Amino acid sequence: MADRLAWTDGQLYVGEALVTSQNGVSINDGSEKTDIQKGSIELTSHRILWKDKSAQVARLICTLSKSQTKRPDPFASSAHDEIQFEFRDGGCNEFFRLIQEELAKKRWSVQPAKSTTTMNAAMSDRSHRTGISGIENHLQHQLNVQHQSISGAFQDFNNLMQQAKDMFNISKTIANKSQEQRSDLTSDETIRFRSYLLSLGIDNPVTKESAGSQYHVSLAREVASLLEKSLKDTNDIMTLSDVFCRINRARGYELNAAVHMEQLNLPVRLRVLSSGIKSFELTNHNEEKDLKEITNQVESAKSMCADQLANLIGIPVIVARERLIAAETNGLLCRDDSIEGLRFYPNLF
Amino acid sequence: MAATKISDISWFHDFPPFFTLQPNLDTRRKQLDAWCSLLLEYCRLKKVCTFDVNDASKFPPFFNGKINRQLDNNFIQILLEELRSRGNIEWEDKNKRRCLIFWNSLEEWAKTVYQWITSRGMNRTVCTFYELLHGDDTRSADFHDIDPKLFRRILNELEKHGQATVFSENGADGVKFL
Repeated sequence: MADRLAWTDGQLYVGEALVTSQNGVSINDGSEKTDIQKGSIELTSHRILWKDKSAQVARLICTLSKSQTKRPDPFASSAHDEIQFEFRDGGCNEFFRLIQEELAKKRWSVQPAKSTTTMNAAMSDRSHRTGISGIENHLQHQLNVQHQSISGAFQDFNNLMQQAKDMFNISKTIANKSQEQRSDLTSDETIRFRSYLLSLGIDNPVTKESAGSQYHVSLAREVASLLEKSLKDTNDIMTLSDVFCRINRARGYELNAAVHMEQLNLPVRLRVLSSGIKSFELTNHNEEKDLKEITNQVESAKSMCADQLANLIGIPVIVARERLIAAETNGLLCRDDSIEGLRFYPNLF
Repeated sequence: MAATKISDISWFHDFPPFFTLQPNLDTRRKQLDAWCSLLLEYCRLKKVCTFDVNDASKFPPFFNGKINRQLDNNFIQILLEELRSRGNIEWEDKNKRRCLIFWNSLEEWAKTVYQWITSRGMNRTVCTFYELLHGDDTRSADFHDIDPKLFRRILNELEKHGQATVFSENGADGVKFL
């Protein structure tokens, strides 16, 4: 179907809006490779455009028939019934989703709000003259205008996504470059930079596609390495919800892999606290020492509630409460439960 | 004795966690021990021999205004049951509303009374309950001013062992020690 491709200068029509673009895309005729390699593909409300580095553009017309233009097309004929877009740099899912959105909106069939007067007159004549169908047309017209204004409102959002994607690409390029040219950045800077990238969501994330059945196991490793650094900053223990937030920033997946951690002898493990809350901690975390320290803290303050402990040693309140209860279970602390709240004292019984 | 503060009997009374039933069972065991000792000592000092559950909220050991703590009903029930299982209280009714308090066991009481009587050479004499309980002569005795119900129980115990006979004459209760 490559014969449906036609050259264009890339100017947008009146009322045509750019939706998104993606680099690293090649076009195949059926499954055969063509000369159209690794360019940037753009989705507009009306068409799909492709351009290479020299900004020459091929235009794909979304109709059933062959191109009607007089200019010679890049492909005179095609033996296949389909065109393939190869996304070498990712972005395929997003692009596909947006294509589907645009196909639903059918903005290319909407008459622009201010068209020529003759067109307008003819349209309105038609709609006035033809009763019910005229009303139907009018309603449809209104609907289309609404669609346009809604998608116009989302235009900003799409632009933002676009910019984020650009940043992503730039960061990735730099990440790759830094891998090759270690001498340009000091190892500290490299590490720091890579951690920024990690929070942006790069560093070759493990995906279901790349790891297949080993998905959860590989994911466990990745999460562990990510967490090890974070946990050192947060006093060795974070709740599952905190971890989920941080990991989601990096990859947006679930944490079923967490249960594998202990088996793989990773430096981080999942722990279920007595209230059912799940949290992560470093495996070299020493429970006895931890509880003793907490008891000392409570002793110095004569008594403590979970809020106070949380503030004092910088852990979440839920975890502080767990720690206090754990110390109570070990006989180190006892509780005072009154209308003044739940407090813990050193166990003087 | 009347001026004795409860915290003088047991410093735990000023310790807020004392008023919260401890979930840790080891800790709870020690807590209940401390409560039982405190209560029995308090009753001995104040000669409290009976207790009505309806008066629980007014019973001084069960609250401490200074630290704003008090025992809840659940804890009070648990304490009473603990005392019963140790033989320190006996319920007078099926509804467990009133009870007799034994800071000494019945055997200990019987021994105490008989020893006191013997040491004063009052064997083979007849005494009324009243003079034994409230008379000037018995002021130093442990059983002075205790509840008559309790006293009767003690004398009945002595009677069982053939150490006394209890009788009633002209409406007054008396006892002859043998």
